[in-house]
Amino acid sequence: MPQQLQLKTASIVAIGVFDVRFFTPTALLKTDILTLPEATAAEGMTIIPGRVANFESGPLKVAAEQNRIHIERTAPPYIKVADILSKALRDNPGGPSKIAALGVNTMSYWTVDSFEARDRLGRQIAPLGAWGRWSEALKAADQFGPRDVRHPGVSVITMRLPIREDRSAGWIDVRVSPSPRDITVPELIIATNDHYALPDNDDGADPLALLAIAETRFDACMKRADDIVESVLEQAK
Amino acid sequence: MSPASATALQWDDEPTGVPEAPALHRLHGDSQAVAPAITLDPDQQPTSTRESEASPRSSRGTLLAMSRKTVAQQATARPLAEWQGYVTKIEGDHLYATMEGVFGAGVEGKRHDAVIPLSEVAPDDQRLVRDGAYFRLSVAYATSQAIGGTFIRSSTLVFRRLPAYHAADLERARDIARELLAGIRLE
Repeated sequence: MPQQLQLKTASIVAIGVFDVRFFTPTALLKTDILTLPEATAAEGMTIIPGRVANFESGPLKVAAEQNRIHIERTAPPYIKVADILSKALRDNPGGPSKIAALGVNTMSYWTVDSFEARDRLGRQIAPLGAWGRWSEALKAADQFGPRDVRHPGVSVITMRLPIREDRSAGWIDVRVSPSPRDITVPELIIATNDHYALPDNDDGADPLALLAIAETRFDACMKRADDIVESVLEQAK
Repeated sequence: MSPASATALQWDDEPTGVPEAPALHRLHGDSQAVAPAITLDPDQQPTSTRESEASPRSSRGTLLAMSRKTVAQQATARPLAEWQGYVTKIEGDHLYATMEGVFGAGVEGKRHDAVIPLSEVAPDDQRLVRDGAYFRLSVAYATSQAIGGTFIRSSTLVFRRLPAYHAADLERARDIARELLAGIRLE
């Protein structure tokens, strides 16, 4: 089985202070962010006026709380998540809106050549010998093959690269784990979190300053995530 | 890497900095029973923007949460290529556009012109079609079920719904233009 992307989701997460009324299907329809078919297809809805607005519509998922907005798509064009956040906040200037941190995230599910190939990746990013005295137990369990439930290995590992070059605070987190979707398939999940934050001494001159990341750098964030994922996957060849 | 197991399933349930509602009764991984009224503490701000936190957190304090779809049941697609474009002209039943590849092997960074029948534009996007309007054209393998489903190669044309310009934005742009103009010296 060759390496192949099975599915990919992209999301944008904003942390701060928000008016969740802007994010109900009805409000998003009124501000011309959702179409009528999209708004009427909303399901799985949880609306607590002024506090929570959660719903799904086709590939779109919105989860809004007073201090956190999460917008996700499971199908392209992914840039719609950035457009929705941007338009909902910019075209509703009356509400309390401040973004203290913003993340552009991807989660991709990849099948790899074999369980052995997935294991090779796991061994490289988390060697069995790196766990002190416990390494002996891990190595002993390594006699069980990659398909055996007793086989030791990574359940999840996260690597963080703090970044200051293009942001005042933030990082890129990359997480790798086996996929739980179908344990008969050698699949893994690679998730990226491109996180931008305001500096601690931010005076709040522009409460939506970080929105510019979503508006101008979304494609670049996605491209960077793709490059990282590709480089991780090379370890499983 | 170990076989996916119950342990592996917990990987996206790591601490968020905001405690879960105290008595959220999980029936199984995808649904929840009735939970108590929410208590949103403004002092307990979330600090992470990771996407995996959304599902557990967004259900916090839910009065009545309907069963959520698993990722395998969602409308999903495997992206192949994507272009961004803008309308340069509308003539008859077609729009003319300039497009640039943003994703996909052999596509990325390449610009070209395109003629697209207006019938390809979704009815709800028709009124957005005008000179200068931005759109995205995506090609993907779409499926209704990620595992065991039939893959269909599909293209999606979506006109972008961007924030409206406000008077202040336009005035700021005029100021910048005036400054630039003042800086030009003709010799």
